Amino acid sequence: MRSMNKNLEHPDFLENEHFKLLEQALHAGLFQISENNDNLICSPAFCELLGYPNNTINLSKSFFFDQLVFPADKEILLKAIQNNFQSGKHCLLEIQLLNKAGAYKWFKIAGNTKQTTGGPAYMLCSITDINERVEQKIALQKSEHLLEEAGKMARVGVWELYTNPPLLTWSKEVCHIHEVPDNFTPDLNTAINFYSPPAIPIIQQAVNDALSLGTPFDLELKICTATQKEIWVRALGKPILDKKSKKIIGVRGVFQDINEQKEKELAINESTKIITSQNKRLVNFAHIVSHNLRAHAANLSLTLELESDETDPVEKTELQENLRKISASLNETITHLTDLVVAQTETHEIKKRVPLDKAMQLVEDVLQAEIRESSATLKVNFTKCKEIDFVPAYLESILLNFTSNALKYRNPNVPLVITIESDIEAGKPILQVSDNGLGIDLTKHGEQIFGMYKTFHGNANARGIGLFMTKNQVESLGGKISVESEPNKGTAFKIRF
Amino acid sequence: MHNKLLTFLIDDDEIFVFATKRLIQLKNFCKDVYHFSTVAEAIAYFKNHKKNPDLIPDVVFIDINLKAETGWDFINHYEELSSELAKETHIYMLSASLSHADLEKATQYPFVKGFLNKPLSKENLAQIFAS
Repeated sequence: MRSMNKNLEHPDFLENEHFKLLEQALHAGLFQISENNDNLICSPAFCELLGYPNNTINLSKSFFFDQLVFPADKEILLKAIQNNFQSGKHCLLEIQLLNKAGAYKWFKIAGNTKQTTGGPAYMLCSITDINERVEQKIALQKSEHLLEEAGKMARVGVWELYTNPPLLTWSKEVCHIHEVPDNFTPDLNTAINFYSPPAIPIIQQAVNDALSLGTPFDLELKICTATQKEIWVRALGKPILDKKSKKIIGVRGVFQDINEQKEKELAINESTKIITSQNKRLVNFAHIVSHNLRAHAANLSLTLELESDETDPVEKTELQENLRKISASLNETITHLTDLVVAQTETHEIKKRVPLDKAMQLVEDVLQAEIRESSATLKVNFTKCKEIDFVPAYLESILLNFTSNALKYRNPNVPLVITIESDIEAGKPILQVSDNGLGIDLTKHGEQIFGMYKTFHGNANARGIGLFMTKNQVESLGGKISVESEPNKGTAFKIRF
Repeated sequence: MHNKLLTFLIDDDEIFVFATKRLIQLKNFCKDVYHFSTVAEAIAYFKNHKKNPDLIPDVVFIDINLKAETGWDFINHYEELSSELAKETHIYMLSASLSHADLEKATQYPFVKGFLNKPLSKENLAQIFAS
């Protein structure tokens, strides 16, 4: 009885030094509450923890619950205590308590009921200062959240690969990029198989090198996501070293969706290529203008200068004739240049589906006489590709040009055979025109063959402008033209549309 | 006067050849003007007459932009032949459009005495034949 009474008013922890040492070591404070009265008996340590110097507050159960416990935590705490009194369920919570300075701090509160036979129940509780730990946890959560948000915005995720035992983890963002669910746990093989076929050996080599040699990698490759989207990604990896042995135990890295940037980059490169080629053509054009026009202008001034000195009337008439010739030449050059400009700028010319046999028929009609005269045989085969999307006028002009060149440069000793056929290569239509004529020495003239005003055989009716126009017409619509030839064997032209 | 001089014009521009030849004749700058429209023909002539100093030209005007072989091709051929020729020739290169690159290239060859812009004026010709 006496021990029970003693306990009621004066719990052990108030006197016992052991308890005091324990409280100090644990940053804890002990207190006792009863089920059926408002008493709250606490230790000095308890007061200190709440910022009150030794026993300066009048503490009652109601004061504790109404003034000190954080309002939102009050109900949970009361319930837990009730549960403990009634069913002995252990009470252990993390709550906030108001300290003397007026700030709420985090404490762990734990308690357990001591049943006294035939008497009221008492609960022995402790509060432990966990404020620092909780604040760190909150800061960490905030950091993680910010990191996740940043990762989402930049489409960057992190991944880790350990070798012993093998374990690959992907962060949420890496899963998003691959368009798989958040909890997707791939093995290394599955992860690598997301990459496009040409990229697979590259990433495999990189991971192997990182694991065996410790070489970091930074690669831009293509993957195919779970929804079959092909996107460009950047994969970086660095080896993970064991802290003690410094051995390589894995690789970790960053994974980023760079699809948008990559496509912009590729588009810029494409534009640069186009601009460079346009520039080259412009320079060419300017050179042609300056040279050819000047040649005629020079002749004009020379002829006029001569006229002032010329005394012979016969010569004078010839000079006038020359003036007429110069004027005609000037006009012609200007016409050629105009055609050239038109061919360069009219890339918005409507492409139509042109049946090749019709175009060839037109050409054969125009060149009827020459074909008959030279007894040439035309082998025409468009079965592999019957039609081409092109500007009809250009296609006819191209076929006409190749055919008439073949006729012009035929070998007088060999009956001329011209083969004109179409085909499909790599999904794109191609046209080939070959003959068994005089051929061209490409080692000598290879670069000049498509130049303006370039001829190689001294033919009187060779103007030298046909191939130049053809090349421009083909290239202005995005095609490519190439030539193969051997002197005295023949020539073959190939156009890729 | 320089009546003994032989001049070559290597150019495929008929009008230019006609006018220049006539001008030279009117001003009596030299005895004869031969014309070749291709490098091949001109070089063939040199090869055939390389031992005869009377038949080798004193002055050669050649246009850079010819259709088959160019003026520079002629220069290269001539350089190979020059040691075998019975007489030295002064070569003048012509063009309707001069470029610095061409001018610089011309200075490499000692037998290229000048690089001129077309058209050739009376004054140009007078200077050339005076030397």
